[in-house]
Amino acid sequence: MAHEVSAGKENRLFFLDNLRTFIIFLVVIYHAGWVYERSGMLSSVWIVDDPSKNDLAGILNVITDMFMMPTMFFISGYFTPLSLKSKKGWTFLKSRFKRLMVPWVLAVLTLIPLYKVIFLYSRHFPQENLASYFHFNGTILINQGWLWFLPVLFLFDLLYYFLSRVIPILMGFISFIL
Amino acid sequence: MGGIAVILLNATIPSLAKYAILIVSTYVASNLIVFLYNEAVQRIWKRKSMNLSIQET
Repeated sequence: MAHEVSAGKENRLFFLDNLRTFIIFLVVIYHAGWVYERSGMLSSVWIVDDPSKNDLAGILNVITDMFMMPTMFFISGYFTPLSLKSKKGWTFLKSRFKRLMVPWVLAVLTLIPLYKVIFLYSRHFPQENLASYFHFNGTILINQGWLWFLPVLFLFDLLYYFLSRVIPILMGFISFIL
Repeated sequence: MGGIAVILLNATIPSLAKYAILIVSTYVASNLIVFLYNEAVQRIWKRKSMNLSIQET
C-alpha cells in the first residue's frame, strides 16, 4: 500500500497541479475584477457593482481572459486519455458525470438563486418571486450563469469517448480497403 | 465573493484596497470551504468504516 502511494506521488505531474492552482487564483482575480473595473461592461449583470472603480481590475481582466479558461481546458484535456485508460467505457463516463454534472446540478439549484439574492440586495432592489431565482421561464431552465464550463467539459469528455471508439474502427476499415 | 463584495460596498477605503481584500478573502474563504468539506467527508467515511468493522466483529 505504502509502495503504491509513493509510486502514485512519483508519477504525479506537480507542474500541472501548480499551474492549475495558479489559474484558479487568476479566476478569483478575474471575477473580483468585474466588481471594480471602470468600463462597466458587465455592471448590469454582475453580482455586485461597486461605484468605487479602478483601472487595474480592467487591465488584469483583459490580460487573464485571453489564456485563463483555455489553460484550464488544456489541463483537463491532458488528463482525459489517462483517465479513459484507467477507467474503461461507462465507468469513465459515470465518473466524469459524477465529477462535473452532479456539482453543476447542485450549483444551479443553490448558487444561482443565491447569486440573484445578492444581486438584488446589493442594488437595494426588492426580492422577486421564487421561480425567477432558478432562472426558469415556464418549465425551461434558461440560464446557468458562470457554470457553463461544467457541461462544456462533460460534452468534450463525451466527444473524446465517442471518437476514441469510432476512430479505431474507421482506421481498421480504411486499412482493410487499402 | 458576492457576500464579501456587499460588505465592502460601504467601506470608505480606496478601490484598489477593496479589490485586493476581495481577492485575498475570496481565495482564503473558498479554500476553507473546500478544506472543511473534505474533512467532513473523511470523518463520515471513517465513522462508517469503523461502524462496519464493529458490526463484523
